[in-house]
Parts: sequence; C-alpha cells; structure tokens
Amino acid sequence: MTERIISAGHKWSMLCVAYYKRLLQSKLGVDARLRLLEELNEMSDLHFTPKMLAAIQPMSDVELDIVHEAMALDGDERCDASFKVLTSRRVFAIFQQLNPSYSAALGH
Amino acid sequence: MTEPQKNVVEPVPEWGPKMAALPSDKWRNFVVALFESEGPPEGKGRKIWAVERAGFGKDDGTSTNKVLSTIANRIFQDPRIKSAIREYAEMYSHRILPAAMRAVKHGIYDNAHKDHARFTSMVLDRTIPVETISTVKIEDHRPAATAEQIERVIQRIEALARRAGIVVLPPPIEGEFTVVDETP
Repeated sequence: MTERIISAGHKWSMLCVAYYKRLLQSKLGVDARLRLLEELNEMSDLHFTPKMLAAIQPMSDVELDIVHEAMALDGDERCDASFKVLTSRRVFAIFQQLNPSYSAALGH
Repeated sequence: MTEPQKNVVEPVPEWGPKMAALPSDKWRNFVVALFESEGPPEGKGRKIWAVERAGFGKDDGTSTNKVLSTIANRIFQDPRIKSAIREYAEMYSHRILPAAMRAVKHGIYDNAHKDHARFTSMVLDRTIPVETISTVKIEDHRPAATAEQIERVIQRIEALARRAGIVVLPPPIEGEFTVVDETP
C-alpha cells in the first residue's frame, strides 16, 4: 500500500473546509454565514482547486469532537498545537476514514 | 424656579436621520431642551423641565413633577431617544466650536487671564505635540503544548474514532525513492 503524501497545509485546508461547511449547516446569522462563505471562496488556489473544495463533505459529529479535542490544546489565539495534532498522519488517517470525501477531493 | 415656556424651541432647518425618526415634535423638542442653556442643572430637575418645555403633560400645566418625571424616564428608556441625543450632541458640538475657539484665542491673547498658561499649553500640545518613540517588544510566554499532552489528545481522538467504528491504524510508510545526486 502506498500513501499519498499530503502537505500539512493541504490537510488543514481540507479540514477547515469541512468544518466551515458543517458550521454553515447550523443556525447562523446572515453576517456569520456571509463571512464563512467568503472564507470558503478565498480558500481555493492553483493547488487546492475549487473542484477539490466542492468535493469535501461537511464534518460529522465525531470529526467535530476530534477537532474540539485538539483545539483544547491551543492557547488563546494561536492554533499551533491543534494544527500539529490534526494534520498528523495518525489523526488525519482517522479523518480520511470518517470522511472519505477528503480522499475523493485529492483525486480531483 | 421660573415657569418654563412651552413649545418655544427654535426651529431647526433640517433634522438628522435619528432626530427625524423620533415619533413626534414633542420628542424632538425634548432633545433640544436638554441642550438649552436655560433651565435647572442636571440632577436638579433638568429632565422634568425639559419634558415640560417640550410640551408633555397637561396643557394647563397642572401635571405634577412625579408625572413629568415618569414621562421623562419613559422617554429616556427609548433607544431612539438615545440615538437622537447622540446625533444632536454631535451637531451641537460643531455649532459651539467657533465660540470655543474664540474663548481659547481670548485666553491666549490676554496675558492676565488666570488660565493663560493652560490655554497656551493646550494649543501648543495640539499644534506642536511632544514626540515620543516607544519600542514595544512583545514576547509570548505561553507554554506550548508538551509532547505528552499532544499524545494524550491523540489517544483520546483515537478512542473517539474507535467508538465510531473506525479502525485506527495509521497507514504504514511505504514509498518509492531514488537517490538524488546532489553534486553541482
């Protein structure tokens, strides 16, 4: 079995997209919704294409719990620790199993 | 206390949007009355005076202070009046600016004025302010998460995944590699 090497930044982007999409499913004010949509719109680039972004499905409850577990490590503003945990091979492999759309997005 | 004259507020050519949004002229007159030079000072019946001057209460002027005070308090609770007061205050401050400038000028030109030095210093501070250069060094002393903490969190995450029916085994590292010749 060969593992595709994915940069930590890409993993983070994919997780953010799934997280934002999950947030967009909850009850939000118009301002917050617009902000999230603008964030999503600005996330794609030449490498992380709009097709990849579109392929990612919103986070499930378990994924959300995992993100919150990792974020508990962070200080007030920085997210160094959660970045390290969430983009680690061990944890991202879990995300890929929980949400196959990450792997599907990589195929685009 | 002098008998307040009702409805003698000077006409204002054009109200701002907040003043215009008030429900009636009485409300607008109330805001204007709060800014007038006449009348008792704050805490000594100013609001009651303003309410009466604006035309609230009975026409024959027999409304008691208690009634007028209740009206004043009710008006003050309204968010529209707060916005209107803020808007009017801004307009008012522009209107009194020339007088304020004349007073400062007078204080500066008159050497015998008791606040001559204060006026002069005030103007100098604004026109030739003292420059100070500050170097701010920001250091982050928050402790970074330790390897043990990170490991504990990863284990909790794996437990969450197991509960969700996910077999938590990171894929083994496999790869094809070639030796790159680094000689220039």
